[in-house]
Amino acid sequence: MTTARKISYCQAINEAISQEMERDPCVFIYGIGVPDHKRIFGSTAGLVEKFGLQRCFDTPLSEDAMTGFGLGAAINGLRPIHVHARVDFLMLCMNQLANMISSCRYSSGGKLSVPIVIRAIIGRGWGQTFQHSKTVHSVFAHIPGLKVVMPTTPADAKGLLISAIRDNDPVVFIEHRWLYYAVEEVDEQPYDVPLGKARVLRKGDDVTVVGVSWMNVEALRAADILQSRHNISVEVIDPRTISPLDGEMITKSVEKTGHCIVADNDWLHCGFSAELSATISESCFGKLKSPVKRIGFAFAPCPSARHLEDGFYPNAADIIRAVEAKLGLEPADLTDEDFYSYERKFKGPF
Amino acid sequence: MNTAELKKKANWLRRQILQIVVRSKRGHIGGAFSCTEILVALYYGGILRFDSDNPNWSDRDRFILSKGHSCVALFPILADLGFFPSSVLDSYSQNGCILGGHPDRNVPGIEADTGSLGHGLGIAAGLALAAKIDGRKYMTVALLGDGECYEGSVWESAMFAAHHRLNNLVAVIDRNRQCVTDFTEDCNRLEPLADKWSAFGWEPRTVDGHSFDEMIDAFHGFRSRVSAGPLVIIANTIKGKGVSFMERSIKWHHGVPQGDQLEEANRQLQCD
Repeated sequence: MTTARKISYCQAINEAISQEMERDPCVFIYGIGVPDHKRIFGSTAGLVEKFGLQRCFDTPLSEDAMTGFGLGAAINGLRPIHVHARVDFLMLCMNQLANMISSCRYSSGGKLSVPIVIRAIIGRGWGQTFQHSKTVHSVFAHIPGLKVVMPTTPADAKGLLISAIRDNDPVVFIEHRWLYYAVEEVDEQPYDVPLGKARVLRKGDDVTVVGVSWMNVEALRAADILQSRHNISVEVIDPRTISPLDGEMITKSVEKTGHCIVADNDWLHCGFSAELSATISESCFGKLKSPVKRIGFAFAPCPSARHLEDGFYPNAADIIRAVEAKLGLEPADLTDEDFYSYERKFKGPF
Repeated sequence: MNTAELKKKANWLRRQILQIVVRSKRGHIGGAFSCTEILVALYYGGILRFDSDNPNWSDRDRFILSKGHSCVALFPILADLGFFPSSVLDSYSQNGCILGGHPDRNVPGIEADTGSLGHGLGIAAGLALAAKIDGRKYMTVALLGDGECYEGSVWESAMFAAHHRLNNLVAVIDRNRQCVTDFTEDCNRLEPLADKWSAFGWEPRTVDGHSFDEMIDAFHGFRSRVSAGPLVIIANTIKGKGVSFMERSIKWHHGVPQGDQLEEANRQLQCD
């Protein structure tokens, strides 16, 4: 029997780790700040008390070496979870990640597998500017051998993280800090959500919006407004896994609507949105009623000043304007609409 | 300045740091307090050569604050010495102000953008090598955190500097025995730290990083050392030094005292 109760995205992640550590003594978690007083924004709360310092420990500021340590542990039968409080710090692990871990199964002729999960937190509105505000999921998704997961909802966060931990290959698991506040019903029992499967977050017939991570929250908000202002029904699809990508579900939706917007949580140039746009152009050519539109970060380092930062990130209003432009609609007056901001944080539910 | 004046200056600097952190509601206060005497010694103790009227003077000594998170301790010094008006400190970390949470080259007196740990020593080694190539006499000094020494790039730079016999380079390690979320000897032992630097071809000197006499003595003759290798000064310090409840406390790596804590911090820093 399953019991669902309302918990946050952060609690869902915490529960997934705790349940997997309980189930499998080979699972352990480590990284800078994992057992400290803040516990990675609360996502590793209670783990050191429950499982001890041997399975939940802090590491020095030696990112690449610590990733190599994870590789060694993983090829010897353990299941490490390495945590980075900012994805930017994962850039320091690229040698181990891109040159060693990703290709280990291939280079060993299939003799070795690397069941490691690398959790990396992304975010926005911290005023932490260009060195603490990246997403760069396409950098990891570009590399064969790495799986890249970006859950949007609390229920998906739990199920996908459990799948990632049980997976025998390396998984980069990217969590948006703003989603940590989202609350919804999540099963208490452990369950898995398969990697590589997209999800329809909202059914619609007129336009397909493929959102990545936080941008799904913006897409759902845009869909509500477009429904009430223009009577336009938007289908919102969350790929959930960037690599491998569920092209089939996205193609099916775009074939139905004929219009597609990719709302990425990253820069556009050479990014996931470009990849998806190319995929759709190949698979839906002839059925597209308009070119695929991409929405993403301004192609610049993230500024720290709030008003500049607000201009850097796209939001629901950008999606609404893109849909209106696609369908030849008069722009609606959005003056009275509430949009999410650093001050007005999203709390859910989905 | 004599030792008494330097002590007074250090106390003034801590009060400045506290004021700025409280006003802006942000700042890495613990690490700023641990390197207070080090910075005061460098700038007021006759160690560094600079010209605040001409910050880009070609023969100035180059100082790299590799532990860039502590810039809140450096900015008041640069203002006090005339690199920019003291009024600029009032808008620290606000829109339009040149002073942010990390040093960058828009600020007169700052040589490099830092804060991404493990990079300052490489830059410093490059500056020192450039001085050798150009036949210039300036010295290069880099201040590193001890937690920063976990980065492999620190040791790559250390090897490079020793190989190129950069005796015009000095690394000062703020050895407060804490990193962002832990105590260094619990997280990953750094000791024997001096032996490690020595094995990498550096001349290590260990001092009390809160003692002006020891700090200044460690720099004695640093411009004319006969040793071919670079010099490293391991300055033993206390993170949060000067405010009892912040000292050696993990949670004061970054924090803003309020209410009773602020009152107590102010009280403890009042006496000169």
